[in-house]
Amino acid sequence: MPEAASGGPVGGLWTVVLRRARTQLPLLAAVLAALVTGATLLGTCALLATTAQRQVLVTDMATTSVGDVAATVRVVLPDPERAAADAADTDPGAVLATVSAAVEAALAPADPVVSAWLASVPLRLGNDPVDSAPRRAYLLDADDVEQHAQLVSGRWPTAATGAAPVREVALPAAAAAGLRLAVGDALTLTVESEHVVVDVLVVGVFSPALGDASWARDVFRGAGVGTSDLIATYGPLVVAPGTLVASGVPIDQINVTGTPDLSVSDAAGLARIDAALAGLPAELDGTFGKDGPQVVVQTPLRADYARARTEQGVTASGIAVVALLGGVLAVTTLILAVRLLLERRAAETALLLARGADRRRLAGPAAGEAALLALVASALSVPAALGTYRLLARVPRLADAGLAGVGPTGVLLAVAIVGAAAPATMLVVPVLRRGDGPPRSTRRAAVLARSGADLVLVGVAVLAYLQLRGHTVTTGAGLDPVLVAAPPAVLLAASVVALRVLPVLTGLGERRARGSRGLVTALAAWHTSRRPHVVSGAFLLVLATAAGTAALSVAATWTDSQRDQADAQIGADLVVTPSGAVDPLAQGPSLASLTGSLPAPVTSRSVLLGTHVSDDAEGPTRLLALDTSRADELLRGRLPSGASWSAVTAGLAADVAPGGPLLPQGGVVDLVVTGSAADGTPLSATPTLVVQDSTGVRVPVTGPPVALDGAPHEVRVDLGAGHPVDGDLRLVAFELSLDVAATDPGGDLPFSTRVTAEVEVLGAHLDDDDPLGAAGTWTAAAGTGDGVFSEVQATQAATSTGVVLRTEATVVLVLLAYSADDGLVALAFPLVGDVPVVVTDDLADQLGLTTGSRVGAMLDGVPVSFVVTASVPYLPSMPRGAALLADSDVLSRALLGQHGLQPLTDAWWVPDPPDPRGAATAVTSAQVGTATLREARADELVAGPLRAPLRAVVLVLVLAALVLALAGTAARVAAELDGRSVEVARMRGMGVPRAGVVRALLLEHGAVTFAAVLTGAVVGALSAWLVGPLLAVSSEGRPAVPPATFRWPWPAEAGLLGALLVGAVAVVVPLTLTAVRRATSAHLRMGVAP
Amino acid sequence: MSTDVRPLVAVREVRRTFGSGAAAVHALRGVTVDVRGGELLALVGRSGSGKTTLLNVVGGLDRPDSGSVTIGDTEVTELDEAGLTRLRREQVAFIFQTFGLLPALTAAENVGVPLRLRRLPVADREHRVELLLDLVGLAGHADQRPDELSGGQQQRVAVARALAASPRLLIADEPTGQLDSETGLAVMALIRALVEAEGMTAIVATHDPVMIALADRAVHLVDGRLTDA
Repeated sequence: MPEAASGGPVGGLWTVVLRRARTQLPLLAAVLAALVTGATLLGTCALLATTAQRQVLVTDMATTSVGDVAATVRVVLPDPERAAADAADTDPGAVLATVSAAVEAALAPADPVVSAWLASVPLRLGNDPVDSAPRRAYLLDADDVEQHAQLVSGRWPTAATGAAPVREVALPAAAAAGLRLAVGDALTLTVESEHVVVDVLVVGVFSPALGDASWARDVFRGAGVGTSDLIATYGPLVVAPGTLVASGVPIDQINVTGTPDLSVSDAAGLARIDAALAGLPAELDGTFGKDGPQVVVQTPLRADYARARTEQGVTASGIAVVALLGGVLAVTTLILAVRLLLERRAAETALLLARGADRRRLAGPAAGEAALLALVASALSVPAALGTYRLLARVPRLADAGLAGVGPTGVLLAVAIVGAAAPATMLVVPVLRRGDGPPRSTRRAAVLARSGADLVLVGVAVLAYLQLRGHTVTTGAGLDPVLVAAPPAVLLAASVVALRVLPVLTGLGERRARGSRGLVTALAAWHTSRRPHVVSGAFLLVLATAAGTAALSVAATWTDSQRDQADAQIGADLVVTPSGAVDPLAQGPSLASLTGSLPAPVTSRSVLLGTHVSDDAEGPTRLLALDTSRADELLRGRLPSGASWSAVTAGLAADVAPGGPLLPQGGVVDLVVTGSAADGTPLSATPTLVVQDSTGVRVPVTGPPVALDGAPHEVRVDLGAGHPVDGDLRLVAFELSLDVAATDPGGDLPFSTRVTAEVEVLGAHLDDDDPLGAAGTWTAAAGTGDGVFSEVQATQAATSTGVVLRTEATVVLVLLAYSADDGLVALAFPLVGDVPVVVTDDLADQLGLTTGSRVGAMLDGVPVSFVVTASVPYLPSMPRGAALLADSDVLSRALLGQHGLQPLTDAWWVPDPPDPRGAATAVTSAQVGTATLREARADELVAGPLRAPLRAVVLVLVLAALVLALAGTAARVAAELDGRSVEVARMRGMGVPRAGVVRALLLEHGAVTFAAVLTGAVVGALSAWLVGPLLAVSSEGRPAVPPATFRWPWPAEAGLLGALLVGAVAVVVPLTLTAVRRATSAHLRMGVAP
Repeated sequence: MSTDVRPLVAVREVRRTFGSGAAAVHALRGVTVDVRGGELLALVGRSGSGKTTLLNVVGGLDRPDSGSVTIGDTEVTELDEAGLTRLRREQVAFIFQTFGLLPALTAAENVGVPLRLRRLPVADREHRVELLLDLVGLAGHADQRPDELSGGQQQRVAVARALAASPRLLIADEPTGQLDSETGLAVMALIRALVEAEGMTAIVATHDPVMIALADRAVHLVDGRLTDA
C-alpha cells in the first residue's frame, strides 16, 4: 500500500487509481454512459435551438406567398409649384432611382426583383357622348405589367420612335367597355393645368390577373374604372415601359415593389432584411426632406417575420423544457452511478484515510479521473449529437421542414463540454466531504431533512403550476421562464412524492410473504422491502418513465390542440373568399360543381354595436352569419362544454321559409312592368329583384328604369353572365325605386299621390305550399323615417304567363325628390324584429350581456337589433375577441326590412368536400376565389417548418429517457448483485437450488422495475394531465382556443412502457444469471463483519 | 456418544489444488479421515492449512481433484450439482466464521430458511423456529435483524438455522473465530450439547485449544496433510 500519509509518491496513488479503474470498469462505464447521454441530449437540444431554428425559419419564410413578402414603397410626388422642395425631390426620375435603390438595398440578402409602376395624374377625356358626363383617364408606366395581365386583343404598347406624337396604350377590358374603345381607336387626353395634350392609340386590351397582389399598386386595383373627385375615371392606360417620365405628363404616384427570393437567404439575411425594412421609412424621409415626396412603406414581410420569430420563441421554450428535463434525468443517472461507485470505494477510501492520506491528496486523482471522463464524454457526445441531429433530419416530415445535417458549431462544443464537465465534478465533491458517513444520530435528521426537501419541492411545483395556469407566454424570440421551469418542477416533485408510494407497495408484498410456505417469493419480497437504496435506486426509473410518458402525452395533447385551433381559426372545412370573377348567383353552383359539396354563403364582417367602441385588443366586434340549420355540417371547432353547434344555435333560424315565386330557368328574368300614379304624375320605376338560390344566397339584380305611364313595359333583368345559374331561384323581395320624370318643366308637383304598379315575372310559378298562402300578401319593408311611402300594399298572384306582383303605395312626391331612400321594398316574409344571436363571452363581458339582452347595431349603414340567446367562448373563424353569430336568412330578412338590399356574402363555406385539397386547387384554378383549407392550416400548425424542432426534441427526450433508464438500471442491478455475491453463495451453501436463487433475484428486481415503471407511468400521466393542456399554446404563445384537452396516446405509451420493461428484462436477466454463476464457495470466505 | 462402528463420513485420499504451474496451491494432499456417527471431530490447523477446503469438499461446496468422500451411503464426490444442493439441504448444515446470516432477514426468518426449502406448513414452520430459537436462548430476539444482534447472538442464530433441517452432519468452520473467548466457549458448548442431545455428527475447524478440548477427537492438518488420523 503506498505511503500516502508521509506524502509519499503520488505515483503510487495513481497506480492504485488505475488498477482500481480496471476492476471497476463496469461502474465507470455507467458513469461515462450517463455523461455521454446527458451531454448528447444537451448538445442535440442546442442544435435544435440554434441551427434547426435558423434552417426552419428560412424554409417557413421561403414558402410564404409572393404577395406576403413583397415590399412596396408608395410615393406621392409633391406639387412642384406649391412645395418648396428641391428639384430632385420633385423629379420623378430621380425619386424613382432613389427609392428603387433603397428598396433593392433593403432586400439585398434575398436577390430581390424590383419593379416600378408610375401612374400619371388623372387626364381629362372628352365628355361621355351618351350622358355628357365628364370623364378622365390615367396613364401607367409599369415595367412588369405583362406578367400580371392577359391580353384579350391586340398587343402590348411599344415606345414611340422618331417624332411620332401618338403614344401607344393598352387598357383593361372594363375600361375599354366603359369608354367603348377597341384596338385601333385613338383618343386625346389633356392635362388641364399643364396645357399638355396627349394623343394615344389603343393597341391592346387586357384583363388583369385575378387575385394578383400586384394590382394593389393600381389606383383602382385593376378594376378598370372608378371615380376620382366624383368624376368617372378609367384606367390604367398602360404605356410602353420607361416612357412616362420623359413624356412630360405629370406623375401622381410612384410604386416601387421589391420581391425578395427568401429561399436564397439565410436566417441572418432575413434578420438584416427585417431591420432594413424597419428603417426604410425614416431613411427615405431623411433623404427627401419635409417638403419632399410623401412616402409610405407597405410590406407584410415584417409582420410575417415577427410572427415566425414569436412562434420560434414558443418553440425555443419547448426545447428548453426538454433540455432541462433531460438534464435532470442525466444528473439523476449520474448521481446513481456515482453513488454506486463511491459505495464500492468506501472501504478503500476509509483505509487510505486511516493510513493518513489527506483528503485533498485523494481529491487529486478523483479530479483527474473526473477530468478524463469529462474529456472522453465531451469527445463522444459531439459526434453523437451531430449524428442524432442527422438522423432527425432524415425523418420525412422533419426533412421537409428544412432540417439538414451540419458540422460542429461553437454552441454545440460549448454545451457538450460544459454538459460533460459540470456533472463530472460529482466524482470529486464526495471525496472532499469530511467523515465516513453520518453517525446514527444524524441519520434521523437526514430523513427529516429529506422530507423537508420533498415538501419544498412540492411547494415550488405547486407555485410553478399556478403560475403556468394564469400565464401568457412571453412574446418575442426569447425563452419564457415559466413555460420552461414549470413542467420539470411538476414532474420532479410528483416523482419524489410517488416514491413514497413504493414502500407501501413493497410492504404489501412482505405481508404476503409472511404467510407463504415457499422461499423464493418470500426472499424477493423481503429484499425488495428491506434493502437500503431500493427506493432511491428506483427513482431514476420512475423519473425516466414519467418524463418519457409525459412527453408523449403532452405531444399528443399539443397535436390535438393544434388541430382544434385550426378548426377554430378557419371555422369550416374549406373557406372560399370570392375573387369577384364569378357573378354572385353563379358562385354557389360553381363551388358545388368544383368541390362536390353544397357550399353555404357566409357573412363575416365588422359591425358597430350601439355606441360601443370596442377596446378589445382583438379589434372591432365581428359578425358571423350563416345557415344555422346546417350548423353541425358547416361549423368546425370544439366547444369546451361538449355541446354541439346545432344545440347552441337552436332558435336562431326562422321558423318558416320565405315565400315568393320561383323564377324560370336561365340567366335572365323577363318582366312586364305596368304602373301609374293616380293623378297622372309622370314617374319612372327601376325594378330591383332580390333573388335567392338553393344555397340561400340573396343577390339584388337591377333592371333598367321604366316609365309608370299606365302602359306595359317589357324589361329584361340579367341575372349574371359567364356561368350558368342554378335553376331553383326564388324571388324573395323586390324594390321599385321611384323617380319623378322630368317631363313637366312648368308644372307643380302634387304633395302626394297614390301609385300602383304591377310587375309580372314571365315564366315564374308559385309553390303549392307557398308560405304566403292563398292571399299571397307580401310585407312592406319598414320606412326609413323619411315618410316617403305609406299605406303600402303588395300581393302576388299566379297568371297564365307567370306571377304578378302588385303593389300600391301613397307616395309623398315632395319628399321623394329629396330622399336618398326612394325605393318601395316588398318582402316575401314577415318583418323581423330582433335578430337572435349567439355572442362570445368576450362580447358578453364587455357589454354586460346575458340571455335576453338586446343591443342595437349598424351593419353597412343599416340599423338592426340583436337579442342574445346564448354565449360561447368563441365562434368558428373568430377564435378571439367580441363576435356574434346569427342566422344568415334571419339577418338578411332584418336588413331587407330596413331597405338594406346589399349582398351579405363575404365568403363561402364548403363542408366536407370528398377531396379537400383537390377542391381547393380546382377553386383556385377556376379563379372563383381564394381557397383556405382547414386541413392545410392544421398541417401547418402541427407539422409546419417552425414546429419541426419541437417535434424532434420530443423524440430525443423519449429516446434519452429510455437509454438513461436502462443504463441506470443496468448499473444499479450490476452493483447490487456484485455486492450480494456473498449472500448468494450463502444461499447456495444452505441448499437453495441455483434456479431458486435466480428466481428470487429476478422476482425482486422485476417487482422493483415493474413498480417503478408503473409508478412512473402514473406520475407521467398526472403531470401531463396537469401541465399538458397549459403547454399547448397558440403559435403566438397565447392560451389555446378552444382550451386543450388532455390526451393519453395508448399505442405510443404502451410501446414506450413495453420497451422499458423488455429492456429492463434484457438487462437484468443476464446480469442475474452471471452473478449467480460467479457466486462460488470462495465468496463464503468473504463475510462482512457486523 | 454414538458407538456406531461404520464411519458416517469417510474421506479417502482427497486431493485439491488451486491454480496451476508454479503458482499452484496444494490445499489438500491425499487426506484420508473417518468421522464416526455422533462424534465431534476437531479439525485443527493454522490459517492456510487446508481446513476450509477440506470442510467444503466434505460438505459438497467444492469438488476434489481426486479421492472420494462418502456421507452415510451417499458418494458425495459422485453427485451432480443438483445432488450436491440436495445434500446441503437435507443432510449437511454449515456454520461459518462470519455467521453466514442473510442480512435483510430477521433471526426467525433466517432460521426458517431451511424449513421453507422443505415447504413446511406455515404453522409447523413457525413452531419449529420458535423451539430452535428457544433452544439457543434467543426466544426474545426473533424479530431482530443480524445488525441488531451481537456476534455471539448471530452465531447462535446460525446454529439454530443449521439445526432447523435436522442434518446428519454439522460442519462448522471456525465458528468462534470472530467471538470473544467467553462467547466462543458458550457457542462451542452449545454445539457440544446439541451433538450429544441430537445424536448429530459434527466436524469443527478450529485452532483454539479450549474448543479442541471439548471435542471427542482432534486431527491436525498441516500443509494439506493430516498428521493424526
